[in-house]
Amino acid sequence: MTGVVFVTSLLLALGAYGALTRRNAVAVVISLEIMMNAANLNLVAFSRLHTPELMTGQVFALLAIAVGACEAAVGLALILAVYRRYGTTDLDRINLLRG
Amino acid sequence: MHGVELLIPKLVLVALVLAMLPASFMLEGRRRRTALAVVALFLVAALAADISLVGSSGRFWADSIVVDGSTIFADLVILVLVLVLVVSRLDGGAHEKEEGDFLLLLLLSALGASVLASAGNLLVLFLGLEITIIPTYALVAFRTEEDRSYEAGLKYFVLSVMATALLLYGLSLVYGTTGSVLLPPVVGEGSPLLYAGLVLVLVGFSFKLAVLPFHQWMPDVFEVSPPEVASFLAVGPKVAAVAVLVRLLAGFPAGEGPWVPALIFLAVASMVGGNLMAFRQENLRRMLAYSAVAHGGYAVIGLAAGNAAGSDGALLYFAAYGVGALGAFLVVAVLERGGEGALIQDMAGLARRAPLLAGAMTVFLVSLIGIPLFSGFWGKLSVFWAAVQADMAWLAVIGTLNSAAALGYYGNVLRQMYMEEAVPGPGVTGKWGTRENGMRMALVVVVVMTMAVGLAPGLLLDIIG
Repeated sequence: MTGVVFVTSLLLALGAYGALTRRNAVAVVISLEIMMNAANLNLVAFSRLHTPELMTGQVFALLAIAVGACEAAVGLALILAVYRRYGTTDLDRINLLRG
Repeated sequence: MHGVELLIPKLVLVALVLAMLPASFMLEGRRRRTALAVVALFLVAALAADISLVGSSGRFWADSIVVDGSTIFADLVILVLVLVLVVSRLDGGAHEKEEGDFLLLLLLSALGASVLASAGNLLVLFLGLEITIIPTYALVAFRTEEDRSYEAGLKYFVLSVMATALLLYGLSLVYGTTGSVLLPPVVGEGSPLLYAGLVLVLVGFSFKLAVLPFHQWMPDVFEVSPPEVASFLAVGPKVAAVAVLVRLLAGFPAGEGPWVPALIFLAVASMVGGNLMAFRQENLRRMLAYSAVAHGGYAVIGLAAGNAAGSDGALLYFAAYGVGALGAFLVVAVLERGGEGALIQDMAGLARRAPLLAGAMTVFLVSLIGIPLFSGFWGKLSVFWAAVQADMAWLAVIGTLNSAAALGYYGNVLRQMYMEEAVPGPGVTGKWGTRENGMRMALVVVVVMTMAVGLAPGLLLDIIG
């Protein structure tokens, strides 16, 4: 189990690093998906450890992938809308709001 | 199936969402009013069903859906919230042309919050949370005439998905270490990995509750989203998140463990930070956003106390605070539709220009401050009392000092409305500041709720208990 967690936590950290440092919105979304997939990997691996016959983790992971796809769809739609208005997907240059 | 009547409030929401997918155009034509009234009637029916369920409980589908006091309470808050918002739009909101899409997304999000509040295992928890949050990405960016709304939507999206990913990772660790997805988790000995998982879950939920330091999205979102969406986000998802957090934390030994100081930190940071930043705001919506951060902190006191009074108190808090916040945002909606500016100083002389509107706003603000006999007071009292019972009296003291400090910025709005002279220019007119009967009705209902809860808080507590 430690092996699995080591790999997936590395993946999670990598995704978080990408999401925080990338300036292109599409690259940020990709980084976020990497973070989600770190969790999915965890779920599948733990499912084999605990209840391989029930496949709880597998079902959970499938569900999470489906939900992640919905999320990415809405996110990309937002990016497209932003691109049309601002003419860029550079998050540093989209800064009309103060906060 | 036995006990299916327990699910009626959720089933009505499901039916409304499914019906609205093909029929949303009905909300945009000449019969818009009638269609909205039908939606409102269904919501009233769901509300009546929910109230008739008080006191009953049940579990469905291998314990994946749990209906108990906190679920029924959360459903009640969510349904009232959506109902008031629908009524307030009866006579045309800012987006008459896209009313169908708007309402579909709002109802979908409400359904998600309702599912989240009744989650009996980690899968349903995750699914409920996502059904709640994903529609709000679109809702936040709904004012398409405004560039900044897309920007707020995108920023909200990025931060929110990040929190979701951390939360999912935390859930996977909880599942991995306990070997089960059921709520509350069977903790046993506990291990560092399990605690790491719990901390990640708490981070994820802190973001949804918008407590400091995970609050950055809130001011932006509150500033540019439609006011209805802001008021929904301030209450609906939060009350559901608290209901499910209580169920999750129930598995862990009460009052000890590394998450207690974490919760205390979140509570104190949000109260103090939220209030300090609220002082500096000139924009009414941003002020309400930072004060919402502070209010989130008060509610977290209840969770940190870790006793039954605390978990009930946290739920009650969001309901008691929620009516005030909902009312304040309805007033914001009236002001905006009337062409008023967005700054607090633009409210100067409102008491003379629109006396009843100013009166309603006064009731909401007084409730938000937490003055006795208005709903907000009982929310504060219940969480502070829980903290005292859990030997954290100092936390209650910090909370009390903070609510006294909040008088400063809420009082500033009152001062502008009553003491300052109005600046001539475009703005709201008439007693209510609006000619829309639906909006007036919504305002009256929220004022009545604020006073009713304030005078008889036992009504709400009985539902949870």
